[in-house]
Amino acid sequence: MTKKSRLALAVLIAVGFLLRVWRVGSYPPLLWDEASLGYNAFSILKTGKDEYGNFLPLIFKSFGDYKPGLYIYLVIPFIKLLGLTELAVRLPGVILGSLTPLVLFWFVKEVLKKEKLSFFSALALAFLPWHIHFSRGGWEANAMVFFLVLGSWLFVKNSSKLFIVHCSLFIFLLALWTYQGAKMMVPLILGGLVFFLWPVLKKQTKVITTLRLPIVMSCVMLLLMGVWFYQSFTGPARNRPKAMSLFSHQRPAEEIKSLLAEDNQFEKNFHFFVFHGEWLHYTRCFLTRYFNHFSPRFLAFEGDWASPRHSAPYFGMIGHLNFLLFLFGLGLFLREKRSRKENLFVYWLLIAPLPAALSRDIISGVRSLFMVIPLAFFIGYGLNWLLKKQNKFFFLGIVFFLILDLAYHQNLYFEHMVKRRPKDWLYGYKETIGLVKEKQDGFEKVVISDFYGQPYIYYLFYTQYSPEKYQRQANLNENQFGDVGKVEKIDNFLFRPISWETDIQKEDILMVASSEEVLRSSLIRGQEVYSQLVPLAEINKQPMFYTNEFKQE
Amino acid sequence: MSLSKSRKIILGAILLLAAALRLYHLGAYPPLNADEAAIGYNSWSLVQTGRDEHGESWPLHFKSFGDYKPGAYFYMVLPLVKFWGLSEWAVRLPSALMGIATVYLVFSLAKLVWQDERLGLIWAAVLSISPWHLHFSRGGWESNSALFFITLGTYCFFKFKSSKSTFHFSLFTFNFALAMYTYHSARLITPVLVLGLGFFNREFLLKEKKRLIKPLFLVVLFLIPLAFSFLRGGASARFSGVGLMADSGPLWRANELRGQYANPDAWLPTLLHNRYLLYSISFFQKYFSHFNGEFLFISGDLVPRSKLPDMGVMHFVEVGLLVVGIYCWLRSKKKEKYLIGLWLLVAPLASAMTFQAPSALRSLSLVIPLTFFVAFGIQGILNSKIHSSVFVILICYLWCFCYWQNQYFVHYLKRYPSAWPNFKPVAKWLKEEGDQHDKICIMGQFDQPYILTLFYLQYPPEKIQKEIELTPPDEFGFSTVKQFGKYTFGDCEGFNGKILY
Repeated sequence: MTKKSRLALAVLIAVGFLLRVWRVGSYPPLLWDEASLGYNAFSILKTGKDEYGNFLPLIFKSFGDYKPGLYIYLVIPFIKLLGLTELAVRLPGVILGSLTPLVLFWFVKEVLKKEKLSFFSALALAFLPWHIHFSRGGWEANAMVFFLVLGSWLFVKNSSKLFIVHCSLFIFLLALWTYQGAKMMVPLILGGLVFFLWPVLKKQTKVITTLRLPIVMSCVMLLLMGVWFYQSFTGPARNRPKAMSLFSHQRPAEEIKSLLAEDNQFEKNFHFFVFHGEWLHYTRCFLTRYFNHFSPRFLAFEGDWASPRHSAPYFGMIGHLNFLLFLFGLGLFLREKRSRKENLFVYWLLIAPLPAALSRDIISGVRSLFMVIPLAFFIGYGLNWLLKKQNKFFFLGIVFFLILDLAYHQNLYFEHMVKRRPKDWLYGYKETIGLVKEKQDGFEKVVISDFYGQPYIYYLFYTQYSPEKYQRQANLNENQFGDVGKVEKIDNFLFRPISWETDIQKEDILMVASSEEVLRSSLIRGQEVYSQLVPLAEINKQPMFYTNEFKQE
Repeated sequence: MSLSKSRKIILGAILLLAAALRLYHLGAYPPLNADEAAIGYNSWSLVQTGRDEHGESWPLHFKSFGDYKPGAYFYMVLPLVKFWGLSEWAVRLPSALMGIATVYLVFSLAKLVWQDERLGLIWAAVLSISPWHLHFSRGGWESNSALFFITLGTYCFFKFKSSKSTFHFSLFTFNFALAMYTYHSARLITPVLVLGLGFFNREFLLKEKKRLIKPLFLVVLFLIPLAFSFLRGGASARFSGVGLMADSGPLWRANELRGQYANPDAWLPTLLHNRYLLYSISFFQKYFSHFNGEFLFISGDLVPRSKLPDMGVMHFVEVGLLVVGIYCWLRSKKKEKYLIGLWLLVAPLASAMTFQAPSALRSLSLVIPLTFFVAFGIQGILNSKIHSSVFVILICYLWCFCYWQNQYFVHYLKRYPSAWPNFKPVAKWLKEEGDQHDKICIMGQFDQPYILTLFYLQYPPEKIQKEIELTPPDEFGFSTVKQFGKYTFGDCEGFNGKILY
């Protein structure tokens, strides 16, 4: 590498870091999972135990979703340095996210030996809206992507050095420990690496077989992975993948009945099995989800339409021009003659949406996050070709429009994303908990509505509630369907829906209701409900919460 | 180059299959819809009186429900109605025949352009059982006949390229012009296709330019009446009813985003969130939605009349074949390869300009490049000499075909009863017992029941031309007739006379 290209790469990483770290401590609002990650890290730091009093767990129970724990351990040093703040929870994600383009650069360079192409891939990733979005927050999937690319790079890099191979396996082990979806991604990627690099590996296996110790070491690593899998499919955490799986959601009985009626049949028979069987139903469900992740609607125009938390509104995961460049790059790449290992990128593109396509949600920008890597590669491929084959001005024009597209995304992200869906973004917990903390004295009970979900963790997080004290009373009401549970009580704080008959009249209760509950009750009881309440946390001219107290302000 | 005997037999079998699938129960299944009845009745009215139902003589656009239908298909139906009388078969047969002819045409196209008979046979076979093409061949769909003319025109263009005869060039331009007379979306697609073909063959065409001026001049002359009729006949009304702007989504989006600023009319919100930008984005979104796997393979169109339940516009097995086909096509060194890519990119253009996308009907011409890719994929697999795979593909196709026929003939009408309501029983009652009543009101789920009544009762055109009175257009620009003669439609409340439900 020349000095100039090193400088360019450094600038690229720095700009990527700026995009990810800008206002990250205050925008967007903290999500449930981030609050939980932060508080558990805080709890470990103070007491060595998680919120439920388990000593240094590998898997954190959290809301009953059993989070793999690496991200929490990564957060601990930042909490030590910065205290329990949003910035501390998010910085590991920001840093790993900023470094992913660098690792991708190394990886592409190692596989294809083309420095310019590697640079453009890194460039595309550093400016990819999808990747920026998930780097700006404590998203475990983002950390997983980093570890997967790092592991792959180490695996590819001069595999004859056994130490490095072991490092690579170790990194994959870490990836497994970061995110649920890794249970599918790690075997797929490891298998893919072995398959596509087989001609290279075959030469090296001769070297390897002469040494006994490394084989034992590798076996230990693989065994550890196996143990991890065993644990996660038999322990208390096993319900989570099951609850999320596509296959645990059956067709409604009415649908089957109407199909039978249309066929003039009375019971399921061979004809039904052949043309309307479960196998076909699940295949169609799977294909719908799989196609959705490649759909222009998802990539270019609307983003994740199932969850507003996963993308900026009215903008695709990668953006309009990036989408065209991706198609262009993919077409060019397929047209050319390729070696076996170059096909790795096509393979990655095809497997990346699998964890998302096999889960119950129709689309998911977070479970399919690994797609950013192949997408960035193909966008980079397209850019690289344009620079090589086309007129400089044309290329600069493309870059200009790419910047405009990104600027448009940034506008939608910073100005509109939270304002448009404040409830999904859990806007207002911070302000409300802060006010409640000030005013709680003199009340016998404080009732906070759980309408937006998991208010207890925000209470713990924003009041920096002492972990020792909490561990003694932590009690999660688990959800019988395997989804997240609820915590209903901490000291004199109750987290439950507001009951209007009892809560509102009492002098000694401080009540915080969600604006939806107030709206519904005002429909039943008339408009005077509003006059008794004080709005809190206004956004886009709408309050998120109401309370019955501190009217004097 | 003549075909070997075995290939002739295969081609014959494919055409027979195509014909059987397109003609089987054509008159009765699915029941006649309002547009088809309008085509039939207006042609019949022309035969009888020389005027359409609204009293317009020999129009190029038929006013019909106020949607000004392009006229060419009416005139194709006309001779059949004249000799055969007014029947479902007469309305649908031209479209079905053109569907069968298109299957033959793609074979000839492959043979002519790439000198590849095997590819042509596979392509014809794939098209003959394509759910998309079958759906619109079975019924009086103008879109399908426009596709036939476009395909024939393209064939003539390449014929011209090899024979260099001006006659073939005239045929090419004439067919494309006919397509424009036949269907709205062809008016956008054909000129762009012509420009594309011209661009890729510019050197060849420039060499021949002297000979081409006369046919070009003639075709422009031929198109002038169309242009006048189009501009006169409520073209703008039609476009505002179903055009891109009829979808008010982007407008609301602009308002919503602007509302989130303290000052919605400051320069930045105005620059970033205005309807021009949002409508452009909406155009591209609609354009690309036609390439979505969900549209192609899972759920198809949004409109029940243009879709089958639980399936897309292509067979499931074609998921893999399409991918293989596109891959092989990218890698292939064939000359004239651009044709398929050009067609693929041009076909959804018109559909993207409307309020509802993806639309299987308006983007029907996509079926040509897509089935080509499937055929190309199959050929790629055949070339790889993995014989077992051929067997697997055949089994999969067999299943897909059975699935299609089960969905089409068994489930379709039961799942979407309102898409193709059967008017025949009503017509039968009207014919047998209608005379006993002075006034009859017809309620029910029928779309444009007046035209179905006219069609099935063979109501005298002279009478309706005087009685017809269209309601003001609805939000999509469609009007209907509430009452003629002794018949009233729709709202029967407080009606004094016989009511039919």
